[in-house]
Amino acid sequence: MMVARGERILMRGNEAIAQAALDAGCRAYFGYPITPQNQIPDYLAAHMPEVGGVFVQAESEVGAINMVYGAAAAGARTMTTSSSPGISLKQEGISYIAESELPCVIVNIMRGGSGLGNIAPAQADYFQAVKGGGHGDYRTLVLAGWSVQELYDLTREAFDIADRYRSPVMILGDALMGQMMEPVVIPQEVVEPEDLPAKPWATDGAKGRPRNIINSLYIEAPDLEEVNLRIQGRYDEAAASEVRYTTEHLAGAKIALVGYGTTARISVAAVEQGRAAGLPVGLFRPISLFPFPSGQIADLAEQVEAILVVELSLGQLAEDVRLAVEGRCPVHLYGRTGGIVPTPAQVLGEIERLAAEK
Amino acid sequence: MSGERLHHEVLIAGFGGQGVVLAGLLLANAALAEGREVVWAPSYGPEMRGGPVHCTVIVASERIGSPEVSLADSLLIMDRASLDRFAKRVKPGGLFVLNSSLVEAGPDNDTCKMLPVPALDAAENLGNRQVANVVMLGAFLERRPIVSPESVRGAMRVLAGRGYENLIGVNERALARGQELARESCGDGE
Repeated sequence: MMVARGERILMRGNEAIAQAALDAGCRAYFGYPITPQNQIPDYLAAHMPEVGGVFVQAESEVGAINMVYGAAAAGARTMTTSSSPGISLKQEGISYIAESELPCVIVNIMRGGSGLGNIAPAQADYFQAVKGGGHGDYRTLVLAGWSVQELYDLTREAFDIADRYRSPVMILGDALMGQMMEPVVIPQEVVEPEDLPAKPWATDGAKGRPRNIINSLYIEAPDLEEVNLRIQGRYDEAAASEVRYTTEHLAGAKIALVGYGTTARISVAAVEQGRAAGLPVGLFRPISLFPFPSGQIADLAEQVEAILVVELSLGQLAEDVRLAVEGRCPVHLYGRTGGIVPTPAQVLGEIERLAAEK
Repeated sequence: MSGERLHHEVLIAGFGGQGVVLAGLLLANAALAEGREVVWAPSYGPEMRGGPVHCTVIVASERIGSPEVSLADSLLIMDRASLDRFAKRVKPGGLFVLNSSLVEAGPDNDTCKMLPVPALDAAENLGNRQVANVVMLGAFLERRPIVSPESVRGAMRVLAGRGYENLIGVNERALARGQELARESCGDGE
């Protein structure tokens, strides 16, 4: 049964991600089950065959990411999804894909860590996502949504961004974003793979042209440096073109909260309660986590008296905020960990405490 | 009701098989049909069949901030263990709808309103003990009409998969029975 388009329907975040992949022209999915993202492979197992695509439940996460490597090398729009421990297992493959200059989409529906941790919401894979994750001098471009609709929109766009920069793009969600249902409108227009621009670098058969090679092995140091500088140049381009963020109630704010995904939702509730109580507080929400909206946060730090970073981890987002702020204003952290999701009242308590310090 | 500001957070709890998730989905789909903002979130855990389960539904006229329910406006409690687990997850003045077929006494909470509903007995009298969840939903909506019964009946048609249309009738009777029981109840849920 195909999804109803053009009207409000209820969908889980995980289902919206899966539908977005189909609508972006992804016809090659490889995954291995792990909670709390199993609705993604479940949905695609049902619906990928309807559009003539390939769904493979691989033998392991390592198998799945290397299947993505192969499909991307052949020019297909391809995706794998997992949750924290499974994403750790994929890191070697992600490094190879990045060095091979291949586009793909990777979804991490984060759960409590470290180790096996638990299956509750967390954001503790932030460093892993935005700083590289695997070995070497690469990054993944990272997008984080805060609603089911935005997860759909960003996942769909992630395939375009991946192709544009020939880079893995990661969608960072968490157990709550993946599991919850919200109204979402799935648009009528979909991308058909045959309508996508050609990928002249793909290893899709060399009939009538010189052969292409997909590789991440460069024995000669100057060769490897050249590749790495080319890849770095794409990150610079992305930093100029792909930074995304939104703001809430920042006009006249003296305290700015910074959070993404679930913590941004909780924070905006706290901000609205704080505003109702007369507290000058607002929210800055990064959507692109790499490239990070550093310039915008530096500007913000000139306007406010203090920044409060709210995250489901212990100072990972706050580190990037501090690097952007460069001492322009104090940066405080309210971080919860292990799958604990704070309430708006708890965040409001932190805001009140900061306001009282003034 | 449209035009009035609405933000109501509901927590439904019971054990696997009692229709906790379905009751939440009926409420969420009814709210969707009325053009409301809505977030439905399940408990997700390693529980297997028969284990504890709960879900939350937020129905609102405005954009919903936190999708997580910390303190609910209303609790629908299907069994004794869930009462113990969630008795404190309610706002002052909130409503407890208790499946009194399985939960003898309400919580020790004198700020909240209690609505005992013999939902399982009512469901058995309707010939299908699996509709106790919908009896509870009907009783709740009689006291807190955050969506209309018509919308819930519409949601039944959305959610009844192919081959289950024959169950819509008993679910409709369960919803109506729950509303009746709430009207008859001597509980202090107003």
